[in-house]
Amino acid sequence: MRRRGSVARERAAFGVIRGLSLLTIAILALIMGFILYKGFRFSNEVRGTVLPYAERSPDGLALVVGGGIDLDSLDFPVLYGMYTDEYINWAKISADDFDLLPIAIDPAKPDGSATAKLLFGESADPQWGGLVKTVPDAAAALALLRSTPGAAAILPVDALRASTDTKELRVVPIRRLMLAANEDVVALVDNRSIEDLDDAALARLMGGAVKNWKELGGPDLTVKILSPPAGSTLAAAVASGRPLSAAKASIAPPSMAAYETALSGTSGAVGYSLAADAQAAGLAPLTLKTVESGWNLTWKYLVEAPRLSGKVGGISTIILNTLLMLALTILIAAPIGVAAAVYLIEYAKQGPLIRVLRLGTETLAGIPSIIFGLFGFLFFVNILHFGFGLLSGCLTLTLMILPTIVRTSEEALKAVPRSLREGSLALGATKLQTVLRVTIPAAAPGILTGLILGVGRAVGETAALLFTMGSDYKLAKGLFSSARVLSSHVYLLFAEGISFDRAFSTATVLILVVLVFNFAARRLVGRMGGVK
Amino acid sequence: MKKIVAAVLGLALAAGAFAQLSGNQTWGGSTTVAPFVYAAIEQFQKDNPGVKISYEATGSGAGLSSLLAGQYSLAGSSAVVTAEQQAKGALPTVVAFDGLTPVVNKNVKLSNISKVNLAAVFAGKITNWKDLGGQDMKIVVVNRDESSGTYASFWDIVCVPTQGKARAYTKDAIVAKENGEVAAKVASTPGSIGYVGMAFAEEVIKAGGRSLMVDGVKDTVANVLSKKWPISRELYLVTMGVPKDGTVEKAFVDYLLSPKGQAIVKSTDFIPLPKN
Amino acid sequence: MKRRILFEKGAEALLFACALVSILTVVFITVFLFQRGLPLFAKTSMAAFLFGTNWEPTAATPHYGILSFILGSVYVTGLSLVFAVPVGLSVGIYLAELADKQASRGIRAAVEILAGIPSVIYGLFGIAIISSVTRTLFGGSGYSLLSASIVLAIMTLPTIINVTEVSLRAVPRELKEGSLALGATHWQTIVRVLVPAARSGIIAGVVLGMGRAIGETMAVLMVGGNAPIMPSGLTGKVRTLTMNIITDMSYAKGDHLTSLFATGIVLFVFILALNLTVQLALKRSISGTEGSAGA
Repeated sequence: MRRRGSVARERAAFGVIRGLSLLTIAILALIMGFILYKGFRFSNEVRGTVLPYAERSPDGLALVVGGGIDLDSLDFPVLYGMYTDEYINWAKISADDFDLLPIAIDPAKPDGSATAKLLFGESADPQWGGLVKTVPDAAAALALLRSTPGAAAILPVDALRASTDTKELRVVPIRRLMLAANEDVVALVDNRSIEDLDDAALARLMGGAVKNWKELGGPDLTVKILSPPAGSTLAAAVASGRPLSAAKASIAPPSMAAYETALSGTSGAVGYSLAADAQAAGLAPLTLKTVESGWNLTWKYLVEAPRLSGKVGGISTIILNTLLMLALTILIAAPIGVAAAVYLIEYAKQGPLIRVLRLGTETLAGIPSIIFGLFGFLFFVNILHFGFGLLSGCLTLTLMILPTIVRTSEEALKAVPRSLREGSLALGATKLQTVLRVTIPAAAPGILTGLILGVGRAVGETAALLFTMGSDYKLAKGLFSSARVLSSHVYLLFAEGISFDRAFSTATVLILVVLVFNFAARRLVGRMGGVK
Repeated sequence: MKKIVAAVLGLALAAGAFAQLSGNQTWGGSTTVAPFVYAAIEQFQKDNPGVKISYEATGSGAGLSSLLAGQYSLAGSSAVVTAEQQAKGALPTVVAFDGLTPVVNKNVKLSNISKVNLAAVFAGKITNWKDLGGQDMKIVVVNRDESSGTYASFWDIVCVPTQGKARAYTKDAIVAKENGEVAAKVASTPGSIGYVGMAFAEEVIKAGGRSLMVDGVKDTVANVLSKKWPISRELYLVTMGVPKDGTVEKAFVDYLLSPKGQAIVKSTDFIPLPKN
Repeated sequence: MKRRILFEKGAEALLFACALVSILTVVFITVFLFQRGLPLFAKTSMAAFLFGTNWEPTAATPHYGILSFILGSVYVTGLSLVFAVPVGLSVGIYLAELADKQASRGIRAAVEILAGIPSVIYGLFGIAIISSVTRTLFGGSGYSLLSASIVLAIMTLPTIINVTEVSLRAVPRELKEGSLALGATHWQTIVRVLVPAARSGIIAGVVLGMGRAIGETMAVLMVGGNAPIMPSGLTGKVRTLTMNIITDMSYAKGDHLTSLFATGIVLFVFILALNLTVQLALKRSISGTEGSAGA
């Protein structure tokens, strides 16, 4: 007769066990959820100086690019950079793979001087970059635009309208409005200075709700808002950006010159300014803070080749490198591992030899991957002169995952009932036939699990690969070609500070690759179980 | 067609010859220079389709020793090449400048720090933000590992004047292996301070951290060029002796020093050499 | 007939050769490690190396004391097992004995995926979630012994679960049925019959897990804090032997590099000692259940 207490205790024990089991699912859900979320969505704080209002034709000019450039609008500082040699291709501007050719109309012509004024403001001497191509007129610029995929030109809107063939071209609106303040607003007080303004703070400030800069973490000064002089370009720009025009002005200078003098001369003054003018007049821009969010992991990311260390482009070559690496590693490791397990279980007699062999496997299993990395780096890469490449990496990986494959295969073979083997032998089969036709098929699901565990370790290994496989993010061209794989790409994107968003996106792909492998292997296991 | 003409012209300008370059190259070294070296290699290979270059970002120290051992034919370095290394044949060429920026977690209520105090923080002499005008909170120092050229430069530039020549960073610091790890740890740890190459400050800010002014100067390219920014250094490409004309190494060093190469330096947020 | 025998012999020899690969690799790596690491002790005494706490490999007068890292490895691995073993055993038992088909399918899938998640992703997860959770709950910077142990515990869990389940299933049915027939409850059967019978497998699983924990590099590197000092408690920063190697590996030269190989030797000796102990323990425990586990 069982006692009631012990029944209850057993129930509780089973409950705890069940709970802990469900905990594994919860942990997995948490990890997967987090990585997938961060992999698919990004949400970053972005700091800049221009306000989020774009003009299609600033000063009667337009930025025109080829239709192949994927760009909705552009911040003025980037435009400025395009014409001052800060970019040589579109990679960092629009993630397009074209070399940049900035075109401007000869500054000596009237149309050209307008361009110079747009970029460099009224007073400064223009700092044209050496990559800028000057053309005599708008027609020449348009011809160049049509023939060069990475070209960009600043043209008068009228000339653009007059042209008959602008279908292939695209006009990119420019954001060039910013907030400029007096020097003393952004000055340091007790090692602190004004905070970066978010949308709410900006609305409060220009709506007149902020009386003193102290409220925004700045110095103890009264806020004085300047309104742009009527009839000026600035006033027109502010007026057309409707949500911004609600500024409650306390000072209204009559001319642009007076406006700029008032900004730089009045303590606590703040007002709108065009980026080029502020730069020319040496006004201090206020830093704005916005949250940018969107989709991270797109189809494009999967099928494009990486460029600029992976800062732009995708990961297609890295995925292919990973598959190459896995194929090669399994090709080397699986036959050796399974054969070793078969020998240990089916052939070896208990004795000192098998004990030594087992100890070898177990010791190998315990050796940290970093030591394999150190070993592979010195032995395969340097002593055997394989260099950083697929072969060095895969051989190192083989050593690493061999014990996993041997051990699990052993367990699987052990689990095959003795009667099966004896039946086969009794029917006259030789030992090798028994092993190949009876024992291994019966143990196949277990062996496959071992291979999956091995692949899982291989696909995720980073420490040993960084120093053996190399980090070239182009497609591997041969066994000795340096190759970056998904796991090292994740680490390098993160560690080299290239992009955390992309690290998470790549991590998501890595997890999905692992999932696909698991799923495929499980299907395989299921089918084999059915046959048996 | 125009593109091809431009490419050929670019090649002519860069290499100074129409010689057809080819061959496989294995280079490596500093992780700091990696962003612009990778970008320059990409562009360089576009112009010279016969060349295949791989750059292994293993750290300045490793790069220089591999160069001296003959495994690399060119190394990137953010650390000064020592007289001893130069005696063995290593020849550094300055290709860019880099500023170092102190970065803090956003909960630190401070915008500026003096160079003297910065040194004291990393030497472990100041351990609370209130001593610097911030709130009462323990300072969590995030330092780089010893391999990095940045680790050496920071001590040499910031700490030597007030803390002495021998490196004596506080040991009670989180050690991060790369610029990006510093960014991640500073952005996620309240009360933390670290330093990164200026090009990496953007990633700290994206993750929610902030950069600090030093002695009232902002970390801008203009301030580095005008020598106002107090923490800046040179970045090098290192070759074994003077590279011969017609070699890929020579062509690449020249390419990086050409206007196009310097534009690449700029486009990866590093600071090009002043025009002269 | 003769040819057949020859073929069989040839196959056996081939299998034997494959079985030798592991042991040869181990011998090779061992010789390699010792050859590169031992010269350090010509420069500094073994005691100063093992029991020194001062790690200043690049100072003018270098010090190579790795006691803090040895203890770091021991603490982190030990603590992770404290978390992982009870959970791993429970889940293994649940899967082998209690779960209905659907539940076990779900959990097994979860465990397999957990096993497949790369360590660098555990590192990212550790930085973003685990370190901030431990920081909020226990204070400190979040990059600590505790965070590293938790990450390692999750990482070693699948190994322990898998092997526990496999070994429990490998216990012959007759043993279980016999126990139940004698009137033991299911729980009693599990605790008194199945687990002891599967002990060798379970211990092997824990050792495998331990191996993964002590050898893990990337994930602990990203959450451990990596300060070369004695861990000051659960929330203190920690540097393990593996972290020490990877942190300095890329640039070390001369005696410094030798000291890293010496660190590798320590790690290696650790694992060897561990394995020998377990082998001995297994030998003793197996004698009781030889008939079942030996086949």
